Amino acid sequence: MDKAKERIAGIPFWIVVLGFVTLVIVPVLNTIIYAFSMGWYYPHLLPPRYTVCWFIRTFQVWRLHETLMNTGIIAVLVAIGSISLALPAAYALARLKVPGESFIVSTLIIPLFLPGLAYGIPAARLLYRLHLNNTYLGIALIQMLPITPYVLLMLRGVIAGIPKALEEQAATLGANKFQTLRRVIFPLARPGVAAAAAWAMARSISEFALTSLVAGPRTITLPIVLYSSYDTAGMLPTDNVALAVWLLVPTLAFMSFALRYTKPTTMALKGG
Amino acid sequence: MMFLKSVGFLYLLPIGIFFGCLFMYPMIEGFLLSLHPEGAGGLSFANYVRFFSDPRMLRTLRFTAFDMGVVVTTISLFITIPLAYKLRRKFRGVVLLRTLVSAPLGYSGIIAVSIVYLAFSGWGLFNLFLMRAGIIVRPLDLVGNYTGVVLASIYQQVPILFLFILAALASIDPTLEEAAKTLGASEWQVFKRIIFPLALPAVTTAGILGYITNYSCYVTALIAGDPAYRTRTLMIEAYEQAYRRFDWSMATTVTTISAAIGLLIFFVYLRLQQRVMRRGSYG
Repeated sequence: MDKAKERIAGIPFWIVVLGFVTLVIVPVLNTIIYAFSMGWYYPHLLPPRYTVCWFIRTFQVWRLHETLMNTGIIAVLVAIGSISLALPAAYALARLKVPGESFIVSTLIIPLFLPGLAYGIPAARLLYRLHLNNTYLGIALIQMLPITPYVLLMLRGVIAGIPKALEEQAATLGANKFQTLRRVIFPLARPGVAAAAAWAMARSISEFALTSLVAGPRTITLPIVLYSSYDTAGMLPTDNVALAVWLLVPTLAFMSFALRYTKPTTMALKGG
Repeated sequence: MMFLKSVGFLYLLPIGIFFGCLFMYPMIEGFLLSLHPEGAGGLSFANYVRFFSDPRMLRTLRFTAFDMGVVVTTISLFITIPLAYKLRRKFRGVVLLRTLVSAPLGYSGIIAVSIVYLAFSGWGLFNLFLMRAGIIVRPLDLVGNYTGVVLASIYQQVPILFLFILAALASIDPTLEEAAKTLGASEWQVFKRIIFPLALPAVTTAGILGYITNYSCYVTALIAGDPAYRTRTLMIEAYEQAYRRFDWSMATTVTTISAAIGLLIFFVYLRLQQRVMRRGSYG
């Protein structure tokens, strides 16, 4: 009888679980089916015909080849930039005695606690004055503001996770500081750095708000196209869906690569 | 001076210069600009007076801080806690369920908002299914309003909070629960008296992080909501002041006010973290 009571007590919990799983699955299913469907509306539970024409149409209507190239170049710039800024800092915070360490860390993660546009709009003003609007560099710089602190937190974890004894052994065997870095730290940190880079690229690819502040006609990225497809005349819902799939696939690929190597809770402070 | 002499200083220099130039300096400049309203000479608090006396701005502030911040965060926590509680132990299919629940982490931001918007719109799968099942006659208005923003927000947020709270629940000693059950506690009592109090620090942290996300809401309210009026957030207001009205002074007033509120929450978060660290109850 106690078992039965327990089962009943668990029911509301399971309703929540099933409800949320449904909420997660429905949009994904809807997107995938819709992107390949032709003439799918009310009485049909499944599309009567399947097609790939919406994907081809995105290239014709939105000049997607240029957009994809812009998005890719910016993502690479962001990954390189944020890692080259964060890696030395992460090394110092994990290995060297830095006075006021906790103060420095909490100052550097402030951007994660502010709305993106709250620092994005003032930063965009500066970038306009430096004539960096409508350039890859300008967009990469503004995207790096929220991405670099995360990368720093991830890389600090990566370097702190390398056993200190290995470095000491290398030093005992006569390696100098530079050799230790090159032969011991870098090889061991590489998977973590790759994961951080993949994460930075996934975030860069899907960043809309900050990009929209400095992007111009020559530097349109995929999220900007997706957003503008909502209020452009003559756009079909299938266009939105096809664009969302173009954006979904690379982001999901980079993100799942990143999540395989890092604990999500260290970087789960904010989604977007 | 000791700081300047340490080697660590050199390693921290690049990131320091970057944030100094592109974060601190523009923020200070923005604050100063907000004190020089369009058309007025010299220093003036006119923009702040305007912000706190304009009913439209106050409505936006209330919507952002309460309807988004408080309400959506509470809904998310009410969904997340049962999720993490049920999925905290190993059983057949738990890995699949955990993966499904945390999947939206992989595509948050504009992608998640878009696909939620599309799926719950008038011609989306959700309404189609309900209509085919005969539950409703015409599509429900689930997007383009507050409901849409709530759906799209919890879609992105629950996975993050889930991982946080799951980690905390996993660190609770299972023998405590068994002991309580042996002494005759029901599942609900175990949850209320043991699991929830022990997970409370993690729930608080998750709540603060959730609040920040909802308070920062921009693209979610823009696409899934009604940005012109009913779901107008502070960030939409700041963007429109800067890029539609070209009143950068007012725009930086809005960004300064929201940054100040964000900093306040940040300090609360730091204090709580310190307290938790001292007590050592949750790592």
